[in-house]
Amino acid sequence: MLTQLAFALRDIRRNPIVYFFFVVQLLVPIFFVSVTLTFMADSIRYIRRVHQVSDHEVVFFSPSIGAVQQWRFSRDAAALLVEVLDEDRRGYSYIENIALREHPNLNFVVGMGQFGEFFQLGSATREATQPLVLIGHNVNALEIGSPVRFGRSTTPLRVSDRLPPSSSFIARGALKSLDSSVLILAEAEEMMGYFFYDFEYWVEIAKNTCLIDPTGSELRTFVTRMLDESGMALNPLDLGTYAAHHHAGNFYGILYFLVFFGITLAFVVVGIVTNTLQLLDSRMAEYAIHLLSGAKMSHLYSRVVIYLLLLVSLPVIIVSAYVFPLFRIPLYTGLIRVLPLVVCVVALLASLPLLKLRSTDVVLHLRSDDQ
Amino acid sequence: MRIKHGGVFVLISVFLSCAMAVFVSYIVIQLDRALAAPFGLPAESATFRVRPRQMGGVRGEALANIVGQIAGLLQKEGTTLVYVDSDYGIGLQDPTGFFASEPLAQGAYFTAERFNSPDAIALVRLNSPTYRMLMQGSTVVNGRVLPVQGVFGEGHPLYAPAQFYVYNFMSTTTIEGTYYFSRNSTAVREILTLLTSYGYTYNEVPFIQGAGSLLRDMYLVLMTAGIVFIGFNCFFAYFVILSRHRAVFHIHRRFGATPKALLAKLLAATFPSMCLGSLLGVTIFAMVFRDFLGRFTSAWVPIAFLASVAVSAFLLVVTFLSQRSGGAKEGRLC
Repeated sequence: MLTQLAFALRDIRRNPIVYFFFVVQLLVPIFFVSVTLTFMADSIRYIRRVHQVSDHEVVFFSPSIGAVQQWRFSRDAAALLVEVLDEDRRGYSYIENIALREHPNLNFVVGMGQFGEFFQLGSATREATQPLVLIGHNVNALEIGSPVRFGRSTTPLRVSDRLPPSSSFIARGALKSLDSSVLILAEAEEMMGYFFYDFEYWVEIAKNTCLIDPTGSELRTFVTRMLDESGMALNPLDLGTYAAHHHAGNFYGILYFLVFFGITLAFVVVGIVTNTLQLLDSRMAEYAIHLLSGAKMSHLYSRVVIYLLLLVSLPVIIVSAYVFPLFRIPLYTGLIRVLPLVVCVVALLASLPLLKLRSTDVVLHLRSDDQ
Repeated sequence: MRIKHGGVFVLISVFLSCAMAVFVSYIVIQLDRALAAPFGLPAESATFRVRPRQMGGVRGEALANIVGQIAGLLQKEGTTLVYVDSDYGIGLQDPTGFFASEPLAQGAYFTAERFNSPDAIALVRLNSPTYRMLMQGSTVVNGRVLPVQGVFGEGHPLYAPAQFYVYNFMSTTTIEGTYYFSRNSTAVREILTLLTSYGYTYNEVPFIQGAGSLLRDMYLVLMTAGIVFIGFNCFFAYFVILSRHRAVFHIHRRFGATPKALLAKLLAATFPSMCLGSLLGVTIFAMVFRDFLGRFTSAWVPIAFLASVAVSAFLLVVTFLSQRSGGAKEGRLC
């Protein structure tokens, strides 16, 4: 195999411009196709999630950027949030930016109000007095029963269950995965008094509040009271319209670029196959000499496959080194994941040249009039 | 001359035309945006981006005072202002009734008195989240209930994808954002001086972006690279197809055909396949992206078709010439 690798490297060395030209040709569409496919998968997950909750009218809020300086904490504003989320249970809210000293590398999401029920995240087992701790499907740092020290409380909470894979929630119109997060379902009142000081997270809770099926007067009352009691000027946006506009546009926008770079990739594949066929034609005499010197056809096949593997793997490694860190996937793990795909692509690329090689009488080629 | 592989030519043209449709539609749409005057304002308009020197900016009575002065200056010189705020709204000061004749989907345009009143009133964009709220009887904007006077649709010049409503500028709660003035008058200079005196900075941005802005578009650069790759590999595919016809070309040469005549016959033989493939490709693309591209200009459709046929024909000519089969020497078969 090492001999065939050396021969494949010699094929590259003989014509490095062609090799690097195809590497660059693969690099651009592979990068865009992989990125757009990821976005496409996210977009499809989003559309499905929005569809799941489409029976309800969800209204989230965008605070007016121009009025940020006027925000002020008030007990009345905190009381309004407790009233809406805990007492009336007219919506949900969440905090995403909590970092715990004992687990600095874990994402913590605290869901309040109807968060658990609305996104069907295991709130059925929750006891009224105790927050429920759930770990995402990909979280390995904690196990069921592991203690979690949370906020000012000295009594640790215990992880009670693991979330099913692809658990997610909708945050300000966008889908957020919970697969790598720890979810704590708690009361807004606990978050603004028992576990943390009331002024610590009230802005997060207020900004992220979503009302479920609010009536016109409920909406007006909530927004007006928030403005009066905290200076936070909120713009209500309904999830249905927002999702239809933004993510239907996103979906087709992604598909638009996916079509282009998908076609580019298809043409590059055609180009590589054609180039490999030309390479075989130009090396027939050499192959014939190899066969006469004791090589087997399998050696010739492996030389072609190794050449294609070298051609495909370089752009895949470059793209992986850039794309996987974006999604917090270690490069090594990512490369192992894409390895079967690379093997399939190489098999696809090699199939036609190998069939041609198989059907050609290579030794006879030495006696051809072309020589 | 009869060329085999007509189906392959059609297939290549379908894919090539789909890619050309993306490329051309992107250029045409971006060009249309870059050359269009924002909000249908006249060509002599000026655009300024205003932001506070320090976080926060002016609030309360000082804000009302500045807004009142800006409205007065605009009123005096008959200059229209379209103010795009940092949220989802457009503030409008239209003393000359520049937008008054534009048809609305529902309701009526602001009366002249409305522009001089600090009481907020709005026009809502059709099918926006604010419109949905209106349908449910609660149009709340920036923490306040907003009375709605009318609804405007996509054809209206004030339509902007990221903005949901238009309000009278006198009722604005913020003055940082982008200002579009219908002319660069003395009043505009005075307004900018006024804003500067209250701790704001401004920078003028080109009113019309111009075609040059496309050169800075990263997507376009990468798509151009993609088109080059497609062209190169298409050339490769044609090369393999024409290689199989080399003997046929030589026989034609033996009987007196010139390379030019051979090329003409080759083009004539493949042209229907190219046209059919391009037509199919552009049609399929247009059907799939009907909703997505529907709101933009459709000028790209014929351009994409013609560009696809032209590129296919050009690549075929280049491939034919590169094969040198038209110039085979006497006495050699191939």
